[in-house]
Amino acid sequence: MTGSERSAEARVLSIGGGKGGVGKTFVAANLSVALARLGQRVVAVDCDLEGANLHTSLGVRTPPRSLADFVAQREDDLGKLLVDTAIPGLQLIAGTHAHLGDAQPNHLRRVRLMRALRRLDADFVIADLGAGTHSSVLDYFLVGGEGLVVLQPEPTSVENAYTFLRAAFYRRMRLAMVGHGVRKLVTEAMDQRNERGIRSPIDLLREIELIDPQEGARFVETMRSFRPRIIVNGVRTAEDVKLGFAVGSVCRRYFGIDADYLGYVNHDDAARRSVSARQPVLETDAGSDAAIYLQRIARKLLGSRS
Amino acid sequence: MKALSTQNHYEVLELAPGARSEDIERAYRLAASTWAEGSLALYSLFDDSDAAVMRERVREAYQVLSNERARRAYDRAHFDAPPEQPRVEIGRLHNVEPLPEDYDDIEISLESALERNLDGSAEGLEADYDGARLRRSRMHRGIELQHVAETTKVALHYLQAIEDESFDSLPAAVYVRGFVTAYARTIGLDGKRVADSYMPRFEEARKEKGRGRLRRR
Repeated sequence: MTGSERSAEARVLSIGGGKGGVGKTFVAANLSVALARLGQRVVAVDCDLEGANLHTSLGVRTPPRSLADFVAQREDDLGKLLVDTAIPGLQLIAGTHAHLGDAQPNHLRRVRLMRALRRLDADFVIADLGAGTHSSVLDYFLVGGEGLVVLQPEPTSVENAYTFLRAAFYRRMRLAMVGHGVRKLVTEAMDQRNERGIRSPIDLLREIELIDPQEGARFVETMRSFRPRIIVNGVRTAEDVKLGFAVGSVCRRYFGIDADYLGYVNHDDAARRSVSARQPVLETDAGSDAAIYLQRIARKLLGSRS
Repeated sequence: MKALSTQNHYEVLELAPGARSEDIERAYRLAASTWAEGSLALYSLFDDSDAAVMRERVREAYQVLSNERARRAYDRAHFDAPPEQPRVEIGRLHNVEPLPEDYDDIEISLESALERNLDGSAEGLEADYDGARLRRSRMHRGIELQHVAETTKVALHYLQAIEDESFDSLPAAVYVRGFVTAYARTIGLDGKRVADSYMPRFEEARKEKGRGRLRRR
């Protein structure tokens, strides 16, 4: 790498999905490896400071430096937190060593972090997010650029994915609205049992258009730019494969957004073995179905922007 | 995004006006399973009364669009110039990207839209059809093995053995060739090409086994 100024920013992919245990970290680690193998310069970032384990999935020993140092303002240069992995072209910013006493980053600090991630000297930055719908997780998902939602074909996972998308959607919309009255309306709509009878984002849009057509237009524009994409992990049947399309269709109906289906990964013993071996499945078992599906998703990412 | 009540039949099925009849079939099947009672994709977001409204709209839309005469009348009433049946892609939904030249499986696939949406160029680059690739192709087209068994009348355990390459559980080569051909056709692949690719693996394994037996003797 030369020290010359790069004009293009890195593509930041944020991997979320609400529920723990659906394979976010597995997908993040392996997509990072797959993209690096396709000749991309990749930085994998563990944004899950409370449950950091991306380093483990990538076969890296607990690094001395981590994102926690940036968040707690002990280090302002993200570049100094990078550690190498065994895979050429892939570096890591771990999420380890967060102190309980560290202050939670506020919204502005999170926005600064995401901006700094985009300026890393890389083609792709893969951000692995924590579970849940804490505002920090939502901010990383929203500010990142491209949000990927990982879910599994089971009700608990689908439910949490929708909860996550709802929370992200409303947060994004509220931040985009200018008028105080309209912002308040968005906040009200977040409560599903609100008194105005706003049951979905589409209903909310109607209400906003009544109050202020200009804000309505802004709402629609923001809505269009919110384009999370879906990955279904752990598929066992052809029916499971189709779930991604159905979820995309339901999102279009409910939110009025495009949520494209990026791909799926099968339920695979090779995947489980790789997790036990603390290595990406692309390293331990490159010929497995899981590895092939993950590489397929990486190629699709490379060929498209959301 | 228009409210459901103001959407036309094409919008309800997420199709462009002028969609081909196979696209209408595909869109209908997907919508019917998406909004079916107990559908996983609806869980926690839509309750069944909402879904029932959608089901009714989907059914209505399909009834009209799948019937050539009804569709023509509908088009005349709803569009100024009736669409000329251009080969409209379902791309608005699925960001259809042009396919690489070497990807020849897709065009004959039953679920071609699904293919086009999900695939990079992975499978076209693989040379051989082994059991794992057959399984991947089948899953990709959204077809359960049970359905292949019903269509081909080949016993499920044989089909399973073909995918798992449990060659010992399979009968003589001439039958297996027939099974593989039928399997491939059912999931929309070129039966002969797949069998030509798969059978040498089977025959090689059989020969290996024969040699082993001779040595033991």
